[in-house]
Amino acid sequence: MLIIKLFPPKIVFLTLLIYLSINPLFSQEWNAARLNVLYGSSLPLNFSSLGKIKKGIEVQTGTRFGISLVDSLQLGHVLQGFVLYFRAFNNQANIKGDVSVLPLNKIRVKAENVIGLESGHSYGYQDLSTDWLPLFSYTNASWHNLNWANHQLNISYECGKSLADGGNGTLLGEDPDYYNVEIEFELVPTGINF
Amino acid sequence: MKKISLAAVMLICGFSAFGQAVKDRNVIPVAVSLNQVLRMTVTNGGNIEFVFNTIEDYKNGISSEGIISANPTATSGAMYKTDFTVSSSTRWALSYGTEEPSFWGTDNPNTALALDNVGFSISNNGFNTFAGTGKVAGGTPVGLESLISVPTDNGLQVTALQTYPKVLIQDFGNPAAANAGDAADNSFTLNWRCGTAEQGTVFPMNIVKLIDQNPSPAPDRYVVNVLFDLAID
Repeated sequence: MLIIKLFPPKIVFLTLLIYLSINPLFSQEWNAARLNVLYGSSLPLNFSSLGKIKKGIEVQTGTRFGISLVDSLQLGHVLQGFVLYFRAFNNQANIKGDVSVLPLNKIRVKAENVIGLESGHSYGYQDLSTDWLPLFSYTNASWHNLNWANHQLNISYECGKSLADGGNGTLLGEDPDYYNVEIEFELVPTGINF
Repeated sequence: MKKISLAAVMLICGFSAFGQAVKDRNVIPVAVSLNQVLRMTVTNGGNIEFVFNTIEDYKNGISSEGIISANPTATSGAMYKTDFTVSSSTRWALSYGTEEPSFWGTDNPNTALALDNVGFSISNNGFNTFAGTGKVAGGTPVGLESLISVPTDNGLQVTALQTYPKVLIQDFGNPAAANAGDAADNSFTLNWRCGTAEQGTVFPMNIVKLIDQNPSPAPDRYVVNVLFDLAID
């Protein structure tokens, strides 16, 4: 009874009407973000010789991402940068072949600036895993919006590198097969109240 | 007034609940194709011939390791060695053996010479290492031990020649080290001998020297082919 007294149906209806009509105008997201694949949307690693199997393969220019990141100037939310994370898609636990599997950490990934993100920090080669791991971070307190044409990252891949070369072991002794894994990248904006 | 204020508070709460940071994701499929590499190359000594033309040869035999073998008086020579390499992307096993159960004479095909008059040892010239004495596949490895040779007690003994198929070298099953590798990893020498009567612990050679055998082997040129078969282990 008290609720009905406080909020008569007329008031509630009017409030809902106003709310629904103007909410889209006021509930704008804090930013816009887009991870554009400029090239390298799939990556074949073909171990066709014993030399490659013994030494591993490194693809230095594997994928190029264009970064678009725009601040929506929402009160209390100040965009100042981003972190690029990666992991095995859907938490796939290993690199799956038709018959055999390889451990995820046989693939390592690195992100580096190509253009426009010189002050960013690359974490170097990181092991592929089921957890989100950072590859590249960028912070700029005096923020300027990023666009894909002028702010790009290069993704390098290595697979089957020896321990001596900083990898997680060669693919010597592994079963011949066609192995697959999907690598998921996530662009996460950072800043005040993000 | 109270009602209007309450409604205003509801509106403001509603606005802020709908705003959020926007992330973006992308998925790159990566494919790894592992092609099989499996190759054996005989680099030296593809044809071995022992020629017995002195009584000393009949007494002591002929060996590629005359000085260091158990029969130091045997005639020796580097021409009785077979060098070979294995290149494999996977764990491998090498089987070997003779096509026939004995040597057959070429002048008189009815004469035969027992296979165990010929034997060999294995020298490992590569980076992959044999397991210790007495170990068999699946045993407890020490360090990076990756090779097993049962007939030669892992490269430590002389073995008599056997008929095909006998596994000569195989993978140890060490999880930390496969016997896969290139020619530098898997390089071996077979040190052949004939009539030296060496007693290996697994397959000993004929302990009776050629000159003491009864009946004495008929003079002839005895031949047999030795097959090698490299396969995934």
